[in-house]
Amino acid sequence: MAEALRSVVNKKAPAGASNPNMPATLRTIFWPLIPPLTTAVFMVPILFGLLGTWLPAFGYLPAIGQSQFSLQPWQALVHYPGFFSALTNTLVTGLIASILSLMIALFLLHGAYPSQWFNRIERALSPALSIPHAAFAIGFGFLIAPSGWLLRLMNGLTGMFPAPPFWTTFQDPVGISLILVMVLKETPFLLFMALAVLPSLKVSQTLWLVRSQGHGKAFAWRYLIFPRLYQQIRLPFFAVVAYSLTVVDIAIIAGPTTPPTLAVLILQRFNDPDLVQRTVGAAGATLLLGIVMIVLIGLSLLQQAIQRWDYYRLCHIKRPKRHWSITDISARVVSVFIGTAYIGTLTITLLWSITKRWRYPDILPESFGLRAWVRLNDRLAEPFWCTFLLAILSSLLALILVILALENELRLSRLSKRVSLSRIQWLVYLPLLIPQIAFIFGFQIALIHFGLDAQFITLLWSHLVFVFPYVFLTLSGPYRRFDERYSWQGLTLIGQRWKVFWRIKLPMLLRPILYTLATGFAVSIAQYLPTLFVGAGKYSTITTEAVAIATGSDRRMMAVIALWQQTLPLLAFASATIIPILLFRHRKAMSHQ
Amino acid sequence: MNAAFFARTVFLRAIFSRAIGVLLFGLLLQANAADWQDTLKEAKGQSVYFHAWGGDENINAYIQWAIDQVKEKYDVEVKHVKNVAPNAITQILSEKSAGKDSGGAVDLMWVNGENFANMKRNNLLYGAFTQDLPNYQYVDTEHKPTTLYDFTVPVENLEAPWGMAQLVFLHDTDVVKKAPSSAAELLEFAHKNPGRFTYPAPPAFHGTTFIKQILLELTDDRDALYKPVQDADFDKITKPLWIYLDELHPLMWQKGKVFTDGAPRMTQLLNDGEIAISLSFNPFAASNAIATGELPDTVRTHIHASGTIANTHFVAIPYNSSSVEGAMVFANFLMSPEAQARKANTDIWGDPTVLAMDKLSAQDRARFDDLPKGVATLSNEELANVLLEPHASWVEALEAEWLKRYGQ
Repeated sequence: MAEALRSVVNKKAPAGASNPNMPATLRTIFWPLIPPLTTAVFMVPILFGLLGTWLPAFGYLPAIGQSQFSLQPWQALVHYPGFFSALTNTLVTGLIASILSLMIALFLLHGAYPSQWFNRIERALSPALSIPHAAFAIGFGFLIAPSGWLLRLMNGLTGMFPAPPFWTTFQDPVGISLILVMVLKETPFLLFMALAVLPSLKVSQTLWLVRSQGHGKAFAWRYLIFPRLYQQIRLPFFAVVAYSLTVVDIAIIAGPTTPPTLAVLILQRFNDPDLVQRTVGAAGATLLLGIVMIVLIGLSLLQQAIQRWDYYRLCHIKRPKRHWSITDISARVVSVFIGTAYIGTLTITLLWSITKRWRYPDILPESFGLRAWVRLNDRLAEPFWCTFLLAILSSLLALILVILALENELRLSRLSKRVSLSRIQWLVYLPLLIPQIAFIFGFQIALIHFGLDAQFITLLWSHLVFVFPYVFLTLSGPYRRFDERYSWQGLTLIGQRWKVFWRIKLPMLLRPILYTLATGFAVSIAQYLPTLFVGAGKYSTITTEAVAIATGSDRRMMAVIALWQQTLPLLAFASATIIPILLFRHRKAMSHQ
Repeated sequence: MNAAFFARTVFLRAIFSRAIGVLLFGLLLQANAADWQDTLKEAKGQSVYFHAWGGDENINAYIQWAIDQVKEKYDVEVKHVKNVAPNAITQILSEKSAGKDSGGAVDLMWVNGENFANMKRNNLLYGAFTQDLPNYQYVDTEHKPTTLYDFTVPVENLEAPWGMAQLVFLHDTDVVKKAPSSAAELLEFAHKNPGRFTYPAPPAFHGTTFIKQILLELTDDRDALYKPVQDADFDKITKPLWIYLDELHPLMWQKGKVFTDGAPRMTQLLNDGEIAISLSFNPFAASNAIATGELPDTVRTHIHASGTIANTHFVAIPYNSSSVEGAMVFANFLMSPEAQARKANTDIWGDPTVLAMDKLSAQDRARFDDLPKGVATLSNEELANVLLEPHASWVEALEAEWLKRYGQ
C-alpha cells in the first residue's frame, strides 16, 4: 500500500501485465484509485479535525466572539489549578500502565507459550476483549472498593469489617487503581495482537534450536524472539500508549479526582459553562497530542538504545543459561489473577443486573428483580439496530478497503516495485495515535460546514476512521503471510485472478478475516464521541445509551446496558470461531491453522 | 363641579378604562390564541430533538410519556437525545462556527444556571417565547422568584420553567441519629463520624452548590453574594468558608483526598454504607430511590434550619433550532397542569411543580391533591425554607478558589 501511495504521488500509473482478465483502461483507473481512497478515508477527518482544534487553541473561535489569535488559552491552561499535577497523573498512569501491559503480555508468552495452558488463555481473549472499558472499570471498582465484594467476602469470613473500612482502594490520588484497570484491559489486547504474528516467528523451532545449543529458554525469548515480536506489535503497542495517555471514560471512573488526569481536566474545560474555556480545552487537547507524540518518539529511541545494549551484551557478556521454571509458574499465577479479575467483574455485573436491593455487607443481593432488564428492553430496539448496522457496515467497508490495499501491495511486489511499508504505514494508525478529543470537534465543524452532518453516511464514515486501523492491524499479518503459491497454482487451473481470489485465497483466509471483522465490529460499537457529535445526537447506539445511564446512579441499569454492550462483540467473536468450524467440518486440512 | 358628578365621572372613567382594558385584554388573548393556533398548525408534523440528561430511568420514562402525549395531541414528533447540556452547547457552538444559523440539530434543551447565563451572553438562545405559551400564565412567578431569575440572571422569557429544585441532604437513620441542621452541626457530625460524609468536587454543580450553601450559612455579609463578585471583597467574605472546609476535609470520606463527580455517585456510596450523609437537588430523591430499591428505607431527608438553596430548571430553544414551533408546543405541554402533576408524583418522577395552585382551575388543582409524596420526603412547610442562589458570577470565582486550594 505504501508503495502504491508513492506511485500515485510520482504519477507512475502502474501498468498491470499481471492481470490478464481486467481491461487495461479499467485496470489503470481502478488500482491507482485504491491508495488515495483509503488515505482519504482517514486523513480528511484528521486534517479538518486538527485544524478545528488548533484554531481555538490559539484563541480563534468566532462563534463566541473570539477572533484574535493569541496565546491566552495556553496561559490559562498552564495556570489552571492542578494543571501540573494532572499532567504528572497522565504521564505516570499512562506510561506505567502501557509499559506494564506490554511486559505482562511478554511475560505470559515467555512463561506459557506454546502450551496447553496458553491455548486456554487464547480462548479467553475474545470474551475479555469484548467487555467495554467503562463497564469493566465500573465492575472492577465494585470488586475492590472499600465497600466492594472482596471486603464483603473478607467480612463474611472474619467479621472484621461491619462497616466499610476507611481504606483508599479505588480512585486513589496516585492512580494505582486506574493503572490496574488499564493493565487488565490492555494486556489481553496486546496478547491478541501478538498471537497474530507469533506463527511467523516460529517460536517452537527457535526454542528447540536454542536449547540444542545449550542456551536457556529465557535467553531465546529475551534476545531472539522479543526483539522481533516487538518490531511486529510496535504499532498496536503505540496505540495502547496513546490510549492510556488520553483515555477519558475509565479515568473518570477509576482515576484520581483532585486533580484528575489531563484528559479529564481537558474534558471538564470543554464542558465548562463559560464558553471561553473551550479554547483552553482546545489548547489542552493540542498539548495532549504533543505529549503522545513525544512519548512515542521517546519509546522509539528507547527501543534503539535497548537494541544496542542487547548487541553489546550478546558480544561481551556471558550468555545466561539458566532456565527459570519460576517464570512458567508465575506466568500461570498472573494469568489466573487476570482471569479472576475478569470473572469477578462479569459475575458482579450479572448479579447487579438482577438485583433489587443490595447493601453492604451482604455478599449476595438482598432481593432480586428483573425490572432493569424489562425497562431497558422496552426502548433498546432502535439503538440496538443502529449499533448493529454501523458496526457491520463499517467493519465490512474497512475489510474491503484493507483487502484492496493489501492486494495492491501484492500486485506491486509482483511488478517488482520496491515496497517499503513502514514509512507510510504510520498514516494508517494516525487515528489511533491522535486523541479523539483533539480532532472530533473540528471534524464536526467541517462536516456541518459542508452540510454533511447528522447523516448516517457520515456517521458511518467517522466509525470507519477508527475501525480501519484496527482492521488493518489485525488482518495485515496473516494476509501477508499467505503463501501466494496457492494462488499461482490456482491461476494455472482456473485462469482468472478474481476467481482464484474468491475460491482459493478467501476461503483459506476465512478465519483471520472473520476475526478481523469481529475486531472491527467491536471497535465500532465502542465509539462514543464520534457517534454523539458527528451524528449530532440524532443516532443513539447502545454505547450512547450506556454513557447516558452511567451519568446516573442506578447500578442495575448500568449492569444491564453493559451486558447488552458486550453481547454484540461477543456474538461476533463467537461467529468468527464457529463459522469456519462449520464450513470446514469436512476438510481436515482447513480445520485448524 | 359637584362631588357627586366628580364621583360619577371617576366611576365612569374607571368603568370605561376597565372596559377598554378588558376589551384589549380579550383582544390580546384572542390574538394570542390565534397566534397559538398558528403555532400549533406550524408545529404539526415537525420533529423536535430534545436534548436532556438521560441518567435517570424514571425521568426518561416520564419524558417518553410526554413525547407520546404531544404526538397524539399535536402530531409533534419529539425525540429525547440523552445528552448533557454542555454537549448540546458544543453542538450549537460547532454549528455556529460553521455558519449554520438555522436548521440546527438541537431544537429544545434542558438547562439552567450558568449554562443558561453563558448561552444568553453568547446569543445562543432563540429569543423570548414563553409569554406566547398558554400554560405560562399558571406559573407561580410571584412566589417562586427563581422562575424569573435563574441564578439571579433575568430569564426574560428565554427559557420555560419546567421544575423546582432544592438542595436537600439524605441521611441514613441507622447511623445518623440526629440529622445536622446547620453547617456547624454537619462539622460536628464529621468530628464524631469521620469518613462518613463527602460532597462532589466543584465544578460538578452539586459540589458547587454545597459550598455556596455553606458560604451562605457562614458569611455575615449575605447581601454581597447577591451582587456581582467583582463588587465584593472576595477574600474577606469567603474566609469563613475556607476555614470551615480546611477543618471538614480531613474528616471526610477518603480524608478529603478523593471526591465524587456528582450526587449520583454519592447515592451509591450511601447505599454502600461508605457515607452516611449524601445530598441531592431533588427533594423527592430519597423517597424515589427507596421506591426503586436504590437506597434502603432507613434513609430520610433533611435540610438546614437556615434554609437551603433552591432554584428552577428550565427548557430553552437554541437560536438555530430547526423546529421552533414544535419545541414551543412541547415546552408548553411540559408546563401543563396535567404534565406537571404527573411529574410531581414520586411514583413517576417526583419533581416539584412550577405552577401556582391558586391560578389553576379546581379540576386541574385536583390533579395535585393526594399525590403520593413518599416516605422520606419533607413536608411542603419544611421545604418552604429556601435560600436564593448567589449571583451567577460567584460560581466561577468560588470554583477557581476551591480548585486552587484543594484541587492540585
